[in-house]
Amino acid sequence: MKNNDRAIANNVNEIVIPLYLLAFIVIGLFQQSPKEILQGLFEIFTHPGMLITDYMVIGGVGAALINGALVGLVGYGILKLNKVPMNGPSIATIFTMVGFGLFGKNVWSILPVILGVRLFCLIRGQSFRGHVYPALFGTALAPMVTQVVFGYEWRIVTGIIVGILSGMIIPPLANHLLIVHEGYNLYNVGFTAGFVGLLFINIFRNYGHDSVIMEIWGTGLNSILRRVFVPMFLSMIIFGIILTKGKLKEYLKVLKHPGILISDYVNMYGFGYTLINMGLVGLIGSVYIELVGGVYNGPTVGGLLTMTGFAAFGKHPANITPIMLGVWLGTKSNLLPYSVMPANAPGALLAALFSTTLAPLAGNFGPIVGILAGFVHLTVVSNVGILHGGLNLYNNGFAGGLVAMFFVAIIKDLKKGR
Amino acid sequence: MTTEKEKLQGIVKELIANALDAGATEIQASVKIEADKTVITVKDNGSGMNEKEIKNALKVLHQIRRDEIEDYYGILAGNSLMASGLNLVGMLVDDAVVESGSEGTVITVIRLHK
Repeated sequence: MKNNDRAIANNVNEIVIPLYLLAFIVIGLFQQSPKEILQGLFEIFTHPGMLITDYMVIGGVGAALINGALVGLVGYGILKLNKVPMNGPSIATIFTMVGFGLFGKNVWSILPVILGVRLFCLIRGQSFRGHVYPALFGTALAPMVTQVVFGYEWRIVTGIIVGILSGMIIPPLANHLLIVHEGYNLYNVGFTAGFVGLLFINIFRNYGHDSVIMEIWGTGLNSILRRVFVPMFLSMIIFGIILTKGKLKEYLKVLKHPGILISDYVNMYGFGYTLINMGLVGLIGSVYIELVGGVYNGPTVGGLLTMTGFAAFGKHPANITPIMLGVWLGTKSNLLPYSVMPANAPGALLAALFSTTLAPLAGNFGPIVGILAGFVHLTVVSNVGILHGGLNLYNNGFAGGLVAMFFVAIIKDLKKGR
Repeated sequence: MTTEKEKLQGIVKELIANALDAGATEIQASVKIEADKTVITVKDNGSGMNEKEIKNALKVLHQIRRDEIEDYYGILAGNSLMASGLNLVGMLVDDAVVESGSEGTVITVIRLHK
């Protein structure tokens, strides 16, 4: 008989993850005065929030961290209401939601999209529990709501209706698009949301309403954010070592895993090794930012948190580093001619962090394929934002899906030729 | 949404891919749909598994069934370039038995109807 797995038996993960969310709130409260935080949250709630809008600039560091934590807590609450255990996909979902709560999602703009998925389930007579991950990841389309309300200045109810409609498309499309890349793009809902954004922005454009790709990009926050997030990643490693009683040899098994969907590391290796992996992946992201002279701000910290979350669900140091190296090679790294984009430019920096969505390509087909995929990803992600007009926050998930599709198709064909 | 039919197809495809990977030249698959459960058995004459391989196979097949992910990710079963092997099957079934020797393997999985 099945041994009801260690992830369920081990309830530590059920406690630790919300503790990190609460930590964000506490840290946020120390960054600004209560009045500034309230004012900052108001600014965040009433901003179009299109890609890239750094909430640390709009509302301040404290308000952005609190908004991120609240967005994560909404996700946590919905998972708990639906009795979903805090395993790999859940951790990836929550950390991604917190991360994007720093640049584009807010605690109210995510709700219509989730409601849209709920309505889809009601109409189709399906369980919401079975679609809870597309619902929560689908909040990538939160700017659809805020752009309609505060960008186009239509009514709030119109924004909510648009959000609900976009959410209703997510479940069938996300399910269908998995087949396109066969699980080699970890941010599948990002791929999906790109198409949904493309559909809606083209409707808006047809009626004279375009969107502007923004670049509100915080600077000068390195020392504050470095002091918060580097210790956070270190705490994960230390806590993981304590949970695994220092038996680190077992961790090598994680590094050998290809990471293709579905790789639930909590389920496969236990929460302790997953925490170590999360901390290491977060640190690799931080080291990359430091090495290229990048900045810590809402979007880059969002990237770090997404990487960290997906280190419970497919990513590990061995399968992300070739991808990141590939992105770096595509930038103005002085190694290749004709590169125009500095490695610390906003787009290139975010591409390096979020390109790790392609980790399964490196994990399954080796580092050379990984480097190539990263290199191609940079060129694709730099040019696809216009397609969805910034309505999809997971632009790298959209690009990653396209890149994975090309690689899978070519590799498949080469394999058939043998 | 991945339908029940697609999930069963996926399980069968993964088990057959597993048998082909083991070099089987003869594979028998049986799907028995009963009132409360579906029993799928795939028997092959492939290279068989040693004790360690049987233990590893059972480890993934004995994962807890993940009904919160099967409607969304279940479509990947049997639809992946590198067959996700028994990992996805383990998430889709409630029980499994693996019998193998020096030649041939029989894998039986049970999926309860909820």
